[in-house]
This record gives sequence, C-alpha cells and structure tokens, in this order.
Amino acid sequence: MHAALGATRDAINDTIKMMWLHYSGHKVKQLYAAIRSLLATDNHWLNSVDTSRPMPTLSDTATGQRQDRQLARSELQCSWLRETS
Amino acid sequence: MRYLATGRVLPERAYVSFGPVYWGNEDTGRITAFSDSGQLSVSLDLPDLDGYISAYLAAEHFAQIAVSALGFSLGSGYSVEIIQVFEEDGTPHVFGVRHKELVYNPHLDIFNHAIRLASEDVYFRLALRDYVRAINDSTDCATYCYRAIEAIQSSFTFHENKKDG
Repeated sequence: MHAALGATRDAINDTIKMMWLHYSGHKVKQLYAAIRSLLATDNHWLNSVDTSRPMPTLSDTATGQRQDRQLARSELQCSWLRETS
Repeated sequence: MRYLATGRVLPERAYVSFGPVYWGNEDTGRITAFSDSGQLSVSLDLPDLDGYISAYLAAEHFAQIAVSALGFSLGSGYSVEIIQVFEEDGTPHVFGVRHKELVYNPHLDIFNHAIRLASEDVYFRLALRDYVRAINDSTDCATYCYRAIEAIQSSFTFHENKKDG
C-alpha cells in the first residue's frame, strides 16, 4: 500500500477525533503541526508513484455472484475480440 | 507475457468507441486498445511485464492515453476503469476498490462522525473526497493524498483565522 494512503487516513482520523473528543488547545496545535509537517517538501511520498502497490481484487470486496457476472461479460468480450482480430 | 485487460470507458452511457490503437513494435512488444460502446479491451504483449498487477497498471495507462486524447478532441470528460486482467493461460483477476489495511472495524462510528463533520466543514469534505480518489488512482495517489492533507490544513487555518478575526 502506498505510504501516502496510510498517512492521509491517520490525518483524517485524527481530525475526526479532534472534533468529537473536543481536544484541548495544546493538542489541537500539536495536530496542526503534525499536519503541516506531512506537507513538508522532504516527505518522500509527495512526488512518488508506487507502481508496485498491490491493487485490491474483487474477491476482497464483492460477492461471487458479481464476480461471475463480470467474468461472463469478459468472456463475451474475449470471444468478440477473437472473432474480430 | 501476454495479458488481456477489460474495462469500461466512463460514463458508460456515452457508448464511447475508438480504435484499435496500437503502440510498440516487434522488439519492444505491442499494446492494442479499443473500445466498443464503452466496453474497453487492452491487449498487452510485452516481455517486461512481471505480473498481472503490472499488466493492470500498463493497461490503464495506455487506455488513458487514447481516452484522454478522444475526450480532449470532443470536449468530453471521459475516464477509464480497468476491471479485470486475464493471464495468458486464462486465469482471471477481477479488481476491486478496497484495501484491507484501510478498513475501520467496526466502521459505523467512523462513518457517522465523518458524514457529520463533512456536512459541517467544507475542507474536511474535500479531504474525504480526495482520499477516496487516492485509493483507486495508482498514478495520482500521492497527489490526491497531498491535496487531502492540505485541505485539512486549510480547515485549521480557516478556523484559526475566524477565532483571530
């Protein structure tokens, strides 16, 4: 997973906590500083493209029924490709 | 290795058709992309591809070239979604949208807090939007994450300025 995703997830979660747990002024300042440091130019992920990042597969997220439907559509596409090439 | 990637040119209701478009030659390998009524196929025959994830990324990249050029010429906001990749032996890989490491369990409290905060704070709303886009976009992941964190910073600055002003 791209490091940026983890950092962003944490920043958003911290912001939610700040609002709902009513952080003290000191803690708000700490969080603000942490957010700003994430945007510092020496953060390696700012300009990175991680092409090795594993992509999620549908078996993680959807039912077998949907996967079957997608495969059926693809097989149609494949047969069409064979006929036209 | 040879792979076949299939997907959609979005919005699907635009029934976008183009191609086939070819890249490469006999030495470097060959990529072919075409779309028929929004149903996108990308055939990859590249010796350097080291797996189906690389094939997914390459297919998305090359399909995007054709779709962006077509969108530019027609003044239309088309985009690409690669859904699945077939290996040479027919093994299918269907791609989803969720990273297990990013899931909150249980998620309901986070959902409730996020929706309420996003309703109140425009910057937080933008941060959530960019974060969700980052999950799916391998090329612009870092850029979207930067924008999301920058939006949170803007939210802080806005509230601080309001207090001071």
